[in-house]
Amino acid sequence: MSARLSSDAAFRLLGRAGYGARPGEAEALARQGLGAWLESQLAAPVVEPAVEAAIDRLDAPAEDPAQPRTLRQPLSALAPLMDTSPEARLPPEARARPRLELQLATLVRKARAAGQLRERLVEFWHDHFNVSFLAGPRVAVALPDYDRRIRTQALGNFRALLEATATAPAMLYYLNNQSSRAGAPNENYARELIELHTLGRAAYRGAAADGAAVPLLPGGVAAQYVDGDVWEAARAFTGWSVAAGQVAEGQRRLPDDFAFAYVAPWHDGHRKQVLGQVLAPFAPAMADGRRVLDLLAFHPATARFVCGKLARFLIGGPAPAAEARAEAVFRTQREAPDQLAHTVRALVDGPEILAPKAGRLRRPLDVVAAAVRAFDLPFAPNRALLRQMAAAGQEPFGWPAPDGQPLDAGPYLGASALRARWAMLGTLTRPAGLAPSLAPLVGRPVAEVTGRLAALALGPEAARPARLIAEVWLAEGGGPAPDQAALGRLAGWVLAAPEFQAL
Amino acid sequence: MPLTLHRRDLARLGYGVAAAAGLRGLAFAAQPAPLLIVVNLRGGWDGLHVLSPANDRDFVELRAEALRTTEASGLRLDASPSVDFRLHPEGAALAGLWRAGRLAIWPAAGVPQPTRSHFEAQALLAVGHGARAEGESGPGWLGVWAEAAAPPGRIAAVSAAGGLAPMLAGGRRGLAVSALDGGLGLPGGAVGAAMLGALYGGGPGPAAPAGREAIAALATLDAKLARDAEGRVLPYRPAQGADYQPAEGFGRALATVAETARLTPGLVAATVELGGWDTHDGQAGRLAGRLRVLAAGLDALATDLADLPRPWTLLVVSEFGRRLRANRSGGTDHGRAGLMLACAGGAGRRFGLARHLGAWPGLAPDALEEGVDLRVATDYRAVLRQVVVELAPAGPKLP
Repeated sequence: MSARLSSDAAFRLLGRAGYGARPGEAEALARQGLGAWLESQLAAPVVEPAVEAAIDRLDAPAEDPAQPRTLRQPLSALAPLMDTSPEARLPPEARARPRLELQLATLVRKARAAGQLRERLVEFWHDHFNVSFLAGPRVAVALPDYDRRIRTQALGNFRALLEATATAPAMLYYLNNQSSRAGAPNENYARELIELHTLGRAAYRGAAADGAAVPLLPGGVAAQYVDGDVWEAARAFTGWSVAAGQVAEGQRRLPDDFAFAYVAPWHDGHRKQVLGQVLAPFAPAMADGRRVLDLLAFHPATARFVCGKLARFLIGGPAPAAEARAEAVFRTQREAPDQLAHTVRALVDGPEILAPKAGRLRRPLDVVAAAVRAFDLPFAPNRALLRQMAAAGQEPFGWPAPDGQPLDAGPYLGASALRARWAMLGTLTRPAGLAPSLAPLVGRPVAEVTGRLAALALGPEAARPARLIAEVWLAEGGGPAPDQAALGRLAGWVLAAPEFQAL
Repeated sequence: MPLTLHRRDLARLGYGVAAAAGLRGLAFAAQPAPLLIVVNLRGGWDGLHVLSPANDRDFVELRAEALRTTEASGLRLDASPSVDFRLHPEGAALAGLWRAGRLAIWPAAGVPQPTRSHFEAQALLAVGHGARAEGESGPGWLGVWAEAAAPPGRIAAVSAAGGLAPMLAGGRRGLAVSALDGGLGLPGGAVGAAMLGALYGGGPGPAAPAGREAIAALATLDAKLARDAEGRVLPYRPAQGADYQPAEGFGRALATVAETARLTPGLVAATVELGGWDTHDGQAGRLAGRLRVLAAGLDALATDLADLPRPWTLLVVSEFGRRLRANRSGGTDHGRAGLMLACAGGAGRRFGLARHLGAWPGLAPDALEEGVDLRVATDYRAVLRQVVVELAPAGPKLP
């Protein structure tokens, strides 16, 4: 029922909507057709038991392997790690553990999950709603909780996802809303909520004084925002905090389970005006903040900004028609629990994502996952790999600024970043040997070996690197019939080719 | 992101293309090349806390005491006859540079476009634009200048980072290198160099030209590194006992710039970033910690490069300053004008901007932008022009 596509197009689709083709996967998708593949991807479960079992089999990253894993525990169980008082006397290692476990689990999920499209969306939303473990131990410890929130709604509903992040302890600490108080609120969250999470910078008009000149949408909502909207929105979120044993004015001590807490005495209850809409004074608990989230989530600028960004992420090149399809669906399905699945379907179900000229640079997370998938490499990520990824320009959950890990090629194409990338790709194919499926290549002529390896990793772009690598290999004195170790090195050079660095 | 600088970019920025090409060969052939180092403090540092108008009544009244530098706590600069500017105690090294006539200060500089967005202000700062209407795309202003100012040679500019800073983006002779220790050889030794050379000799996509440039530039710099008898790269030894260690990663980046500058007489531009200034929360401790690192780094560089046989200027920029009134998180939110600094050195250098203090609009209610923020009294591009002209009077001008 769905249109057939060439295996070259299928290969490109798997690199863009997923983390690259496994051996034989592009051919299978070509037979299956785009539509059927897309439906099976959108129906993939949030949790894949086989992948989670592979994660549980990883060596414990901490010095004390007897400690229970933190990844599976609710945030309340990690409360002791959130204690930043000097009396806590926690080694930094203990606090680093949750984010380290999540970093390694993330690598395994990208490389192994059957639900590749969901993993792509999880990555997209982590970038979009960025928090960084570098901001402090509380953000770092809260990361697994944050990841569960994003994972659950990745193909769900944007408004629900927005509130899941707004009430996430990781976000409340990262953008400081937990300490925001009536009277002189902290503007950090409100600023980035509007600029980065919803309306986008294209809708920023600037100075508060310019608010009067902003045109109104049908219904009276302002089409753009000014600083005054940020200031008012910040007031709306006062009192959205984290229960960390504080004492609020006139209240009992809050629990210290590090759950989200709405603290009424910290909320500014007076009348506010956001995007031209009046927020009535003394509304019920959380109503002001929720009203702002509604205004933002359902604003047309948000649909445009989010869908445009998603198109750049999944498709790569400019794709105005695909963006327009996605934007229309995002808006009409705004109440649907699977609004984002519909949106992604509209974006991907078209010619744009298959086009040879689309695509973008693979970031370090992309290249690692794609390398593992291309050759079915045995994969046990560790701290050394994370260090190499950082040197190549991306450590998962480590981008310090709220704009999230850049999609632009700049940070990854500097001389040092490329040198680190090449070294990283070389080590991936070495230590543990290659996949059993590649064993028949041992002892075969080098041109045949590089031809096969390049076909797996580079699909339609295999010919040039396959020829060059074989030529240089022989010219540099490599054996004409590579053994197992030589096969690993040749696989590493295939991954280093410029063809592999773009989607 | 364009990787090469087009002639039209040079023309757009006001360089006669022929003149720019000629400058390379002529202007600096006879004299040592200048070096402009830009330190970008991402996040928007609180200039009002780093350098406080300690006797300003509006300031004292409106700014929480923990977030200002006072007559009791701060270092006196005697920079102005009317305003008692006091430097944060963690910036003691900067006070020393000021007294030595090696520092210039603009206390109320910024992007003219009213914006309190990090990312808009940073984007404008990178391309050297003043307003949204001018756009945010195009080559970095520093890369354009470096391209025109540098003598012939493979490396004209360096970012001490994995990737090129946006200010340098677009220049063909920019190198991003995060560290030099251990050398810059390619993985896989001679075979690796041959493989990567062949693979990146052509090929599609954005990585191919970047890889070509990286391979050539890494080889150029690697060949210049000092080595012992066994061929191991010797660690960098700063001059005059300068110590980059207390400045941590920022210090290592500055040391990379200093060593690259010593190895590359034609290097005319460099960038280093130091983040962590977005102090919406707990500012007192966080700002002190950041400033300690910044001052230690600048002190080390100023010492190390004091005798560099060519003139250099280090410019400190940040996308904006912060709000006059603090929030209840013990922090400050995004404001408008901020603090810019320039520090200079080089053998026999007389800094033409020594003890220069830029315009100060004051903090009276009617002097504030939108009633809340220090007004932008100096367009940051005027500072760039002033610094560039002083550093390289015969070189290309900024638009």
